[in-house]
Amino acid sequence: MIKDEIRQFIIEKFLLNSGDHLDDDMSLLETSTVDSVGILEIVGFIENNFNLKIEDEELTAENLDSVNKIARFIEKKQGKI
Amino acid sequence: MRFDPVLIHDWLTRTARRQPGKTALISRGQRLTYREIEENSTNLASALVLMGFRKGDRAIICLENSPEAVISIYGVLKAGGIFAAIEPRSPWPVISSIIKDAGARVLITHRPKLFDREKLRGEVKLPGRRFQLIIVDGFSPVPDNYHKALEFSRLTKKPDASVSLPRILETDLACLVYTSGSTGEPKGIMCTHQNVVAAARSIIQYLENTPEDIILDVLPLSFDYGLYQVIMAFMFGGTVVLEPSFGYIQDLLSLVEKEKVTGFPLVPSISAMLLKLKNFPTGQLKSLRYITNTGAAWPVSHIRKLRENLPWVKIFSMYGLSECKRVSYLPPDLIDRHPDSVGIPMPNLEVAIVDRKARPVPQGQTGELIVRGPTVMQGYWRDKNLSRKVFKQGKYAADRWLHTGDLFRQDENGLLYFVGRRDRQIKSFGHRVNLTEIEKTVSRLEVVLEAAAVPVSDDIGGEVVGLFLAARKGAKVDEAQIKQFCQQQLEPYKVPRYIWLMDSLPKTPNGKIDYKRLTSWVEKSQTGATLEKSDKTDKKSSEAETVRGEKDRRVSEKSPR
Repeated sequence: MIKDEIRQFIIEKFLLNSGDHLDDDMSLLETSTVDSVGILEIVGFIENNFNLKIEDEELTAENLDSVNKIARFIEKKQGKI
Repeated sequence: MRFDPVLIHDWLTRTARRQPGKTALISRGQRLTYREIEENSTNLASALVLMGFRKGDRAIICLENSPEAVISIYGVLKAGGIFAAIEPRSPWPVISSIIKDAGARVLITHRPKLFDREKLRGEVKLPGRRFQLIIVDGFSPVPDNYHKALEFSRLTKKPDASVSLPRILETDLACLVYTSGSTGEPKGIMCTHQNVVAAARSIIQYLENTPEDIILDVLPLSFDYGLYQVIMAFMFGGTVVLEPSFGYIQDLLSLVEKEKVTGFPLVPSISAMLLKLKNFPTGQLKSLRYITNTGAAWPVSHIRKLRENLPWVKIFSMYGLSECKRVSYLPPDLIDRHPDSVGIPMPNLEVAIVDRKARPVPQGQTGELIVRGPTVMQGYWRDKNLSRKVFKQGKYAADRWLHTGDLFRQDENGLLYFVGRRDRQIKSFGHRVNLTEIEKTVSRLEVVLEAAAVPVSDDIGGEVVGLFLAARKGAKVDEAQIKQFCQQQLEPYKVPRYIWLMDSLPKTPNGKIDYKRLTSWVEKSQTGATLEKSDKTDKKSSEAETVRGEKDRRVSEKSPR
């Protein structure tokens, strides 16, 4: 599952300490789960792991700001939606 | 004749009187006029006074960049208080140590999770009965052990009773700016209204700000560079677009375009992100009048590329430290010829470059930069010893030289060049980080025998923290455990990005940790060069190999775009 992979990456990378649960709809930036550099790391992860190219114009909250949004974005890029 | 105001918040009041309906702040989807900020902050001040907050009391503001953060700052000032805006993502041990150090009466925060979590662990010990917690939205219901917590939104409503606010002088303290001290403990730099207003005036003067300026502020208000954007704009009557971070680049760029931003203060990690885009967003930045950089040395390559892509934009390369806010700026017309210089002293400030005995060095030679002027702050909160060492008293009370600890040289035209630091401080994402503090922190873990923190150069952050560790005999340590501990104890930008485990750390002949060797391993592994096998023993070189292996793995894992 795409979602599981993303969730796991974010938990390992950013939530190691907190025992915070990661809601799939939770805003990553608003909740300070991830900062601006973290976002670039997520983008790098998506590009490597799913073999996708992410364009400048796609670096938006709409595409990247929650597990669900990222999953939807990846599926769209893969042409599944 | 009418004189200019002398208090930070009186400038807001004046601007609000002159242009009440003008948008002062655009933040998180809200637009606030000068009148609204003026009224809300006055109401908050009244509420604070009613709850027993007195002149000179300290209030910690632990909020993401938001309208509430700005209103809190001005509310505390109007109540005669001293505010300390701190990094909103600090873990509880950092927040509580600052509350304790400042002897704070009030904490304003929006961190419900922080308290929930800590409550579960039973770790929260809020100091004293007089301590008041104020929670900004999303905190319902208030947990039972904080029955005293107040809701921010209720405090900005007009109070029923009339309240008289205290008399405040420009020589009174306005804020404490917390920063890593040379020992690694957080130190609160004491700033009077006079200090802050003097610094803001000088900066406004050389940036030539006007009420037409619209400033994009993505730097945290806990960072004086971010804080002064608001203070200055409210003085010259401009507009601030205040966002919590440089988060989603495309959204930020759209905001710049939509709000026609004219001023963009940044740190090198932001210019690095802009320059990493596949196509530089020249079109979206066309409203810009100027860009400023401070907080960390600006790579010349960034400056050149920004000049190429934004030829009409004035580029200000600046230098400063929180102990005196700002020192110098490079006049924009010199940037192509001297991109590696941080320029000339700003108005109303004098500098000298001196040797260890505080004697001026000959022109062109390297020495410590010292600074004099009305922007030199009052010293460190409750640390007279350190204050005396760093802020040296001259012939009379106001004649003080700040010893910056930064090494500089000056060329024949009087231009200043930053050479390096005297102590073990690095700049990571524009934040000051003391490597000793990282070592002290991890050494609290029982399994850790020795720890050595080193700077690792980083595309985005400039420098990040790398940590070499040796565990006690028989103890099992893993990276995740160390990282987790650091995340619980340190602000995010201080958490080591790289951790290398070793059997023992290399030593110099007199038994001290050999930082030079560690640093050169890191540098070599970064350039990808093969490590020489010429180290004294096989064991050493195999350790060095491990270092390289680890690092390579992590680099590829990070894989910048």
